[in-house]
This record gives sequence, C-alpha cells and structure tokens, in this order.
Amino acid sequence: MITIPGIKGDIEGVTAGDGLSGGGTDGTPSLALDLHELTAAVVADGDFIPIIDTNDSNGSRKEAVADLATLFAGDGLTASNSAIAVNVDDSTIETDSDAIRIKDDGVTAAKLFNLARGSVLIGNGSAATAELTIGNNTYVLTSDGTDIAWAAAASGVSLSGSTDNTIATVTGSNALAGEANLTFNSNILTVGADADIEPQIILQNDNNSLQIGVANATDDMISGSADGDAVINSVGDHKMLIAQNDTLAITLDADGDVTFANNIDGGTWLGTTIAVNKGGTGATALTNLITMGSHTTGDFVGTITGGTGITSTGGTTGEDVDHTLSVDAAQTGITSLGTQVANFAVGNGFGVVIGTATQETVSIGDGATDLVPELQVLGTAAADSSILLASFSTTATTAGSPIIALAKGGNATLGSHTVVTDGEELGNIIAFGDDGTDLETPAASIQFEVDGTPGSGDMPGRIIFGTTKDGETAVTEAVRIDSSQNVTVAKSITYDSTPANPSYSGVTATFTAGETLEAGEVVYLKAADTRMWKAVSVVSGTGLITPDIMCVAMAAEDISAGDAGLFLLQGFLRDDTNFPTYAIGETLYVPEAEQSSLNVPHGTIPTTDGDFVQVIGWAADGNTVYFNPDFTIIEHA
Amino acid sequence: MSRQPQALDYTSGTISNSAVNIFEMGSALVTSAPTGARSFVGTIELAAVRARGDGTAPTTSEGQLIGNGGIIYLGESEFNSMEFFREDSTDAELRGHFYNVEVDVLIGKVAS
Repeated sequence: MITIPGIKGDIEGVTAGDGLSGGGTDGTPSLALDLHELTAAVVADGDFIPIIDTNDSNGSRKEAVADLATLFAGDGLTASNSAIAVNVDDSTIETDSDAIRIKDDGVTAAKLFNLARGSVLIGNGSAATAELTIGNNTYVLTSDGTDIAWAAAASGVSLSGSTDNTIATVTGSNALAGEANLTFNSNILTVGADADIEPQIILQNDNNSLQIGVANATDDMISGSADGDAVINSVGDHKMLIAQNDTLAITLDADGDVTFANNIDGGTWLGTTIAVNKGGTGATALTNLITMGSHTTGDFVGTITGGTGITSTGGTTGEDVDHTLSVDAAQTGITSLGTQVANFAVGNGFGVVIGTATQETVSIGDGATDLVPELQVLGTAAADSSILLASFSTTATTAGSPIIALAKGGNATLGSHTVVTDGEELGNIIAFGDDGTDLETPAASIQFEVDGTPGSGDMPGRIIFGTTKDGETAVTEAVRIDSSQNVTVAKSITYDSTPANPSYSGVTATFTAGETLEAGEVVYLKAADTRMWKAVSVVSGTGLITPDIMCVAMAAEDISAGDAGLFLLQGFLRDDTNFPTYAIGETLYVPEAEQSSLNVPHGTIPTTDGDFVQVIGWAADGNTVYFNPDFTIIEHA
Repeated sequence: MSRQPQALDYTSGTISNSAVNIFEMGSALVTSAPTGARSFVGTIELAAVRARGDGTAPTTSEGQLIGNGGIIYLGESEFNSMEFFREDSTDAELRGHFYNVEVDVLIGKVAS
C-alpha cells in the first residue's frame, strides 16, 4: 500500500497564530515563539502549561497544572484537583476554625516548657507561667489563698483501740476509733465473740449466700443451686440451729438430718413419697415415730383385723409386722361377692353349693350311676331350695325371656365342636326321689335326643317324657314327640269326664267359624268355604246334614263368624248355660232345630220324614256332653 | 505504447471499530474485485484510520496511521489482504476507484 498524506491546496501565506509572531504571504516567511502573544486565560484544574523537559533532551512538553500541584505538595500538604491544602488530620496539623491547635501528644512538654523533673507549672504574680520546682520529701502543696507552695504535711491520724485489720468507726464529733470486735482481712469480715448483728443480715450479691462456719465462700458452694437462690449453708461439722425464745426448735446436723424438737403444725406434705427409717433414731416401733391412734381422717391404717370371711394372720399393729389377709377356708359369713367385672370362674372339679357345704349325689337317671352336680341349691323347704330365672324385659319374644339351655357337643374338648349323632342324648331333666337310701332313684324325666341325621344348621330332635313304673328304679318312655312332631303315647289317654264349667277335655282342632258359634254348638264342614257351620237334621234346615256331609265337631269355645277357634272332635264338654239339662246317659243327636237359639245336641231323636238321624254322643251329666259323633247315618222315613 | 488508466468502478464505505478490507466496509458499493481491476486509489475522509496488510488485524493503537485526507494506493493483491480500523472513536469513510492498470502506472515511477 502506498499512502500520500492529504493535500489540501497551495500555501498562499503564513499567519502567526496564538503565541507566535511573524509570518508573511511571499518569500520565506518565518514564525517566532512569542509568549507575550498568548491569549490571557485563567488557569484551572485540567489545564496544561508548556515546559522544557531537561530529562528528555530539553524537549518541549506540556504539563498538567494538577501534576505541578502534586509536585509542590510537600510534608503536611496535599494536592487535590490542582489545589494544595494543609493536612488537617490528627497525624499532622489540626485546625479549629481560625485557630491552630496541636494534636494530642503532638508536642512534648519539654518542647513547650522545658520543665525539670518534679516541677509543676504555675501562674506567677505577673499572670505568666512560672516553674515551681519539686518540693522536699513528704511535702505537700498548700495554698495561702493567693499562691501555692510546697509545705510540710500535717502529722498522721492515730486510731485508738486499733490493731491489724481493725475497722474504724466514728466516735464523738468527727473522730475515728478502731472497733475491736470487727475486723476485715482480705475478703473476710469477722464479728467478734461479744458482738451482735441486729436486726437482720441481707446479702444482695450474685451469690446471695450466708456462710456459717466456713472461712472461704465460693459461688459454687452448693452444687445445683440456681443463681440467685438464697442459700444458708452450714459446712463441715457445724450444725444449723433454729431456736424460739432461746429454746432449740429445729436442728440440721452435720449429716444433713433435720430434727424437730416439737410438733410439725400445719402445712401439707407435697412429696410423692416419704420414707421412715425402720427403728428411727432410738425408736423401736413405728408408733414412736408417727402416732396415729387419735387420727380419724385421711388415708391411713390404724389397726388391721380380718373382716367377715377374711382371716387376719399376724400382728395387727406395729412397725415391720408381718401380716396376712386371706379368705376364710370355711368361707363362712361372706354375704356378697360384690359386682364382678369378669366371669366368675370355679375350677374344674369344684362346684358351687348353695345352702350347705356338702354336695349331694344323684344318678344319671338310671338309679345306679352316681352323679354329683357341680351347681346345687340345697335346703329344707321351697324357700331355700328353689332356683329362679327371671327376665324383666319389654321384649315379647324369646330374646326377652329366660332360658334353661341344655347343650351337648360331640367333641371331648371344651370349646371345640364336633357334630352329634342320630339318637344322641342332648339333655335330661330328671326328678329324683329319696328312696330312703339316697337320691339316685328317678321318678320321671324329660329327655332330649337327636332324631335324625344332624348337620350344620340342621338338628332334628325329639322329646321323650318318661316315668318310673311302680317297683322299678329307672324311667321308661311314656310319651314321645318326634322330629316329625308326631306324638306317640305308650299307654292310654285319659280325659277328664267332669270338666269344670265351662271347659272341655278331649281331642280338639282349629277351624274357622262360618257363622258366630257358642260353646256346645255342633257343626259340619261346608265344602264351599271350608268353614264350620251349624249342623241340623231337619230336612228343611239350612244346615242339613246328609250322608255325604255330617256333623263332625262341637264348638269348644265361643267363636265369632270368620274367626279361627277350637273345635272338640272327641271328648267331654261342660257348659251349664248353653246346654239344656240332659238326662244322664241319654243318647244325643244332631238337633232338628236350635234350642234356645243354640244348636246344641238334642236328646230326642228326629221324627220328621226325610230327616237324617246322626248320633253324636251321650250325656255324661245334666250339663256335660261326651261328644263322639257316629258316622252311621239314618234317614227318617 | 503504455496503457492508459481507466476507472473501472467506484466504491465507498465506512471504516468503523472492526477490521475490514475495501469489500467489507460498511455499506460498501463494491463487494468483489471488478473484472480487470489492477489497482485501487481512494481517499480517507472524516477521521484517521490504521491499516495492516500482514494478516494481523489492525487496532486503534496498532497499524499504519493514515490521516484524514490521506490517499491510499492498493495493488490487486492487496484488495482483500489490506485491512483498515478507525484510529479513534470517529468512523472514517473511504472513497475511490478501481483502475485497469497497476499502481506504478498510476503514480509513475515509484522509488524502490
């Protein structure tokens, strides 16, 4: 690259600028430095002035005014922004407004006054400073009211009665005297034997402690005491005594034991436990330490004795006495076991006998095999030999009624379950009689057995009523109600032939009355509605019996039309109101018509042609009918 | 018979605070060498610049100083290699022509 400086044009003349003189427009003009030609200006920070730099071959240079100020600022001066200022910090020179002052220790006394050792500077009579040279040994400065001067010191003060460490006290008028009973040595204030401290001592230092019998108290004299706690501390073998009217009341001995000379009156023991050392100090019985004989309130035991049914063994009072309370072996006199909060259990092989102490033996119902029931109520009359299960409940179902439960499981372990088998006996209710020898001979029983194959939720059963025949020792079956609910009677059924008025005995069944019926009215079963309607023999009657529809029953009670009621199928019925007076033993027929508005049996044979004659019983007495309809029917011709 | 200089093209552009050759100037009118151009002659305006042709970029303080109004001559081989950088805070302008003859023809005999 080739460069050529910029060419602006031909020079037509040279003119002297600022600080120069000379110039011209032709020939060879010259310019001369002429400082006088410079334009006047005010020098300011940031300006430059020309210099001849002798360090650089006397070259022409410019120099900042600020640099000149820095160059000129010597010790005690500082240049800043071209200005030179006197330092005013305490390391050099201080100024205070229009006065000059010297920093602390900025000039020594020797530089100011050139005083000799021990001299002092005073003002003299010319109100100028003057030197007062050091005085004689032990001399003191005195003043005569105008000037001061050295003078011999007055003689020292002598305290009467003072010894080493004696404390001075004021005596008389502005006089001091040594107090022989008070001394202070180091940090110990000692009160002499004959001195009293009245009325109280108050310590208010950080420790708040009063030391008795110890020479050097420390802040840590009681470990664990909180800072600020007030502490009275007896140290070493020194006791702490509290007296009342010069009589010892409380002693804290060197072992820390506290002894009360008199009673502890009032207050409440707030501790959770209190321990009494067995034997105490010189005591051999608890009562020597704590007297409770007259104490009648609070939780304490004065004398321990056995109550009813409880046997007390050992001493009843005293300290460290072995004592045992146990339920009486004879268990006599116990009136109540209280309210149990858990099952009352009696161990296996033991029972509960109410009324006496000895269990009675019966049999399992065969009159031979002994059985000792675990729960027995024994007495001499109904009042002391009966048991009662009573429920007081508003529930009218089984859930509200008492239950005697007999249960039999097929497993040999209590609480374990195995299904029982067909024919297995589930329970027995047996009545025994004393045969003069024992109570093992049964008289009658109700036996419960499985009747069929049982399974889960399936338990067919039967009830067997048994009695013991005369001359025998075991019950035999008399009546059975099986799982099909059929009743089997081993022998005959005997009905009451003289029932009370009005009542009945015999075989009954429940039917619905087709019309309102009263006890004793005879009826037939109408095919149209399967209800019982009054039966008559007269051919014109609405309840006419026929060979196909005959009289089958007698209303055993008053039954309203449409209601279900009991009907006597066979048996005795007495009704002194509804029946006419029959001739005893006469044959009774279906009536031709109602008698006294009642369709009761009639003692006269129907006589109207076409009537069907049906014998339905006979009169057991004047108002008692044995109803036993004969289904042989005769038509009256 | 010697050749006669003929201006082939004209260019101008801004030299700022980054190193540029004559084709890289700001708003350069010509961004590649015109066909047949053998030299470039231009004038620096507005402010001084610095120039380096050794492959190292010039800066405000390093490089050949060319004052405001200075004239530069570039041979064909310097079109891309000669870089310019403004000398202070003021951008400069370079304006000139590309010629069909070498520099020595333009300026006559150049001293060795």
